[in-house]
Order: sequence, then C-alpha cells, then structure tokens
Amino acid sequence: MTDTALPPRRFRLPAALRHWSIATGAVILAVVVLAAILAPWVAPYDPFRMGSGPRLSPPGAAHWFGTDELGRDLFSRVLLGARASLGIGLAAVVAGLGLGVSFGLVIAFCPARLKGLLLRIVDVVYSFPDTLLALALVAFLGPGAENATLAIAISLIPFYARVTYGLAAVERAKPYVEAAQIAGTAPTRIMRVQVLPNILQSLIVIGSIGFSSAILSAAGLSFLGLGVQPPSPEWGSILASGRNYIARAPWILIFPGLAICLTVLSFNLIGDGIRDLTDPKGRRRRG
Amino acid sequence: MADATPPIVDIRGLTKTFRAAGRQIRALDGVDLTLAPVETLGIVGESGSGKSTIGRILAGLETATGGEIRLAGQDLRGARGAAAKVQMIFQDPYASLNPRMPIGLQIHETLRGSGHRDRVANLARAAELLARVGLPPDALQRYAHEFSGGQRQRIAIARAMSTDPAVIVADEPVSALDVSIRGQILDLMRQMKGHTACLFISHDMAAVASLCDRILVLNRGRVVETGPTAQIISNPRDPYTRALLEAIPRIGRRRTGTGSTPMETLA
Repeated sequence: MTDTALPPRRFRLPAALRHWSIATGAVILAVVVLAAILAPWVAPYDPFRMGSGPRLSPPGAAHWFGTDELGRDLFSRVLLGARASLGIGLAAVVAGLGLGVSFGLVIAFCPARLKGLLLRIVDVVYSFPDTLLALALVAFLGPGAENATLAIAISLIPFYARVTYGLAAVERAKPYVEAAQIAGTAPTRIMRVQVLPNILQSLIVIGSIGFSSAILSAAGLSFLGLGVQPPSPEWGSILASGRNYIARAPWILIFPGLAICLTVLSFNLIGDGIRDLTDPKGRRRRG
Repeated sequence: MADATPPIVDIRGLTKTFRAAGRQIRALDGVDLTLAPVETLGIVGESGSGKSTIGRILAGLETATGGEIRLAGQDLRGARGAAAKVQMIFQDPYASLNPRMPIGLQIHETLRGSGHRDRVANLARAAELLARVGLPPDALQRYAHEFSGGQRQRIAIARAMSTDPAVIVADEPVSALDVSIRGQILDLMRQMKGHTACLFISHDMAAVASLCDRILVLNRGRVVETGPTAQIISNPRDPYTRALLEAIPRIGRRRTGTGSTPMETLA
C-alpha cells in the first residue's frame, strides 16, 4: 500500500465545467445571476409601474411574459424578483451553513453522552420539513424579508449540522487528528485547522443542495405573504398575486414558477456534478 | 534493571473495560508496568491482547477504567498538560498525516500544541528534524501523498520527536510497511534510543527482539511475563511467550517436535 495511496481528490474548476451537469447548471445559474444583477438596466419597463400595458395581457412582443392584474410588465418583475429570491437564498445559506457547520463540528468533538443528547435534539428539529420549520419561525418572528431570511437560515441548520457531524466524526477517528490531540492542540483549533479543510469539499456540495431548498422556502414564504412584501417582486409573491387569475392569465404563474424551477434545478445539477467529481470511489464519467 | 533512577512511566493495576453491544469487554485487567528514562520496552501479544490500549491510555486518547498512571512522578489523570510529554507513532503512516496540510505545517502544529508559537522557529526545527530522519529539504512544503509509506513513517517519527517527548508510544509502527522498508525504520528508531523512552507495541517478535531493552508479554489484558529481552527470547517461562516465539518465521531452521503454534495454544 506504500505508493498506491491516492492523492486527495481536488476539485478543479476548469475540469468541473467539462462535466455536463455542472456545465448545464452553471449556464442556467449564470443567466439567473446576471438577470438579478442587471435587472434595473435590462428590464424593459419599471417593474413597479401599473398600467405599463393592458391588464392581464398575454405574452407577446410588447410584454414578453405578459402583464399582471395591475398591468405591470411581468418580465421586468420576474427579472427583479431574481434579486430577492437569490439574495434571500444566499444570505440564508451562508448563515445556515456557518452555524450548522460550527454545531456539527462541536457535536463531533463532544464527550459521548453530551453528543448523544445534542444529536437527538438535532434529529428532532431535522425531522420537520425545512419549509414547515421556516414557516413556524416566521409566524413567531413576524413577516418580512429579513425575518424570512433568518427563519430559512435557522431551518437549514439541522441539515448542515447533521451532515457536518457525520463527516467530522469520520475524520476525528483518524490518527492524524489523534496525533493533534496528543500534541495538546485545543479542540477548537483541531476542528478549524485539521478537520475543516478535509471536509470542506463535501460541505460545498451540501451547501449547494441547501441553496435550492432555501430558494424554495423563500418562494413558499412569500407566496403565503410571510416573506417579501408586495409590491416588491419576488417569485413566490408574484405567484401569490397571480393565483386568482390562474384560469384567465396562467402566464402570471407559469413564468415565475419556471424561474424557481430552473434555479432550483441549476443548483441540484451543480451539486450532483460536484459530488460525482469528488466521489472517492472513482469518477463516473457521464456525457 | 536495578538502577536508582525513578521510572518515567509507572503504571499500577491498570484496567480498562469497553462496553460493546451491552457486553462488558475487559481489555486490560490489572496491568503493572514501569519504563525507565531512555529505555525501550516492547509490549507483545496477539491482536486483542490489550497492548494498543495501554499505549492509547498513556497518550491520553483513552481514559483508564481503574489503576494508576504516573508520568515523571505526576498522576496522569486530570493532568492534560502532562500528556504533551507523550507522543505517538501510528501503524498507518498515511492516515496519521493530514492529507491537506504541508508536512512542515504539521510539525509546526505539533510544536504549537506544546506552546511553541513561533512559526518561523518551528519550521526551522521541522526542517532540521526532517533532515535527521533522512528526508530531502523540500519535504517541508510537500503533502503526505507525495511520499512513500516508509517516508511517511519517517515524517511521523520526526513529528513525534519534535516536542522532545519523555515517552514515545510506537503502536505497530512497522507492521504496515514493506518488509524491505521495515529494517530502515527500525534502524531509525534505534537511533532515537537514548533520547527518549519508548513503548514499542508490536506482535512482531523479531522486530521487538532487535530493538527493545525489555519485553512485556500481554495475553488477554494480563501481563504474562516480563524481563530483559535476552532472557525472554532465550528462556521464556510462560507457554504463551513460547508460542509467540515459535511463530517467528526463520530461514534454514526446520521446525521440529510438536512445538505448539499460537493458534493451537489459544484454541
């Protein structure tokens, strides 16, 4: 076994972009991100102005995605809505990942009894569906974009903590971590300097999976009127405003729905692709 | 060994019980052991005899169920600071190095654990140690996967030596290595003798005989026999020790008589 041990599998961006699902996901995501950034400049109409066109007019040359019940240009609103959806998703994932990873690492280094207790608590919270948990938290915190972000972040913590714990527990049992323990390195430093770099790659994958769940939760909360408040556009809230016109003007639901769908899909594709590439059991070449 | 110097390690009545699937498994059952400064003690026994557990308890990776351990006169229990005086060399040289940290930094981290915070000084010390175990100067910036198994074990030895430990626990340090490399690592460990005391844990009687001053034979968590290497090898009193010795493969010596193998003895 002396010379055959594999080098740690590294994640390289150029190679990753040749993987079909990462490439597809990245292209879709790039479009959505560009839309979010450039929305104010590329939107053909003011997304807030009522009567940009006739009310509930179907998609056409003047209004690519049609107009909503107040005559606002739907294309412009979906573009600007990308900002809210991605922004909430990003903020929630960053906060949730940070806290979840910290919890997971701490649990992995707890003495056996405390570890058991903490894991059961995480399991109980984890058994609630993300969106339901976020919903309950918003009900407690009050509606609004910031509270929705906070609630989604918290709802992601159990998932991230559980996965991090699993990864860290494997590393913790390895002799290199034991060597650090013997050397007298403080547990917090072992977590940060020894364990974290070795599980980071997997955490990136897990992060991207949480992203799609966060965007779904954000849309769900806004749809229920608990997230982004009208008249600010967000995909979920556009869906909500259009639901009364589903028979007469289905495009109000189709386009934001499609946007949510594609964004979630892009994150799932990227996540799957990274997992494929970093799978230590050999790379499955597809496409 | 009747000299006046007090032992660096003094273990009395050490017991360790593991709980597995509701059953209690007694890994160590009243082990007494002393280790003089700069002495190398071989602990031999079959898998499951509890030999690794002694080393892991001494290194602070496990806690004893009962008994007393004194390290340089201090009670080990509760004294976390004392543990820095013990370093360990592991069986699997690859898993004992962090795959994503350059070798130099790993030695720096080890030194940092015992209060040496100056990174530049630590890296200089790391370079000196790596040279001493026969590695090229650029080893400092390289990663574990760039080295062979034997080289990795040299790095592990350099890391263990870095803090000037009073005791090194070497847990099967050569059993994962190619036979051709084994001799080199044993030579290196022989050079360490005189700098530090060593607990050399192995099931390889030949390696133990070539390296250790004294041997302690362990069977099912109990000390079966202990004494100077020459005495144990040439005149084993316990049948279990004889069985372990019989198991050493030898070239040009036909095994005669009914000499029992360890398997038969245990059956």
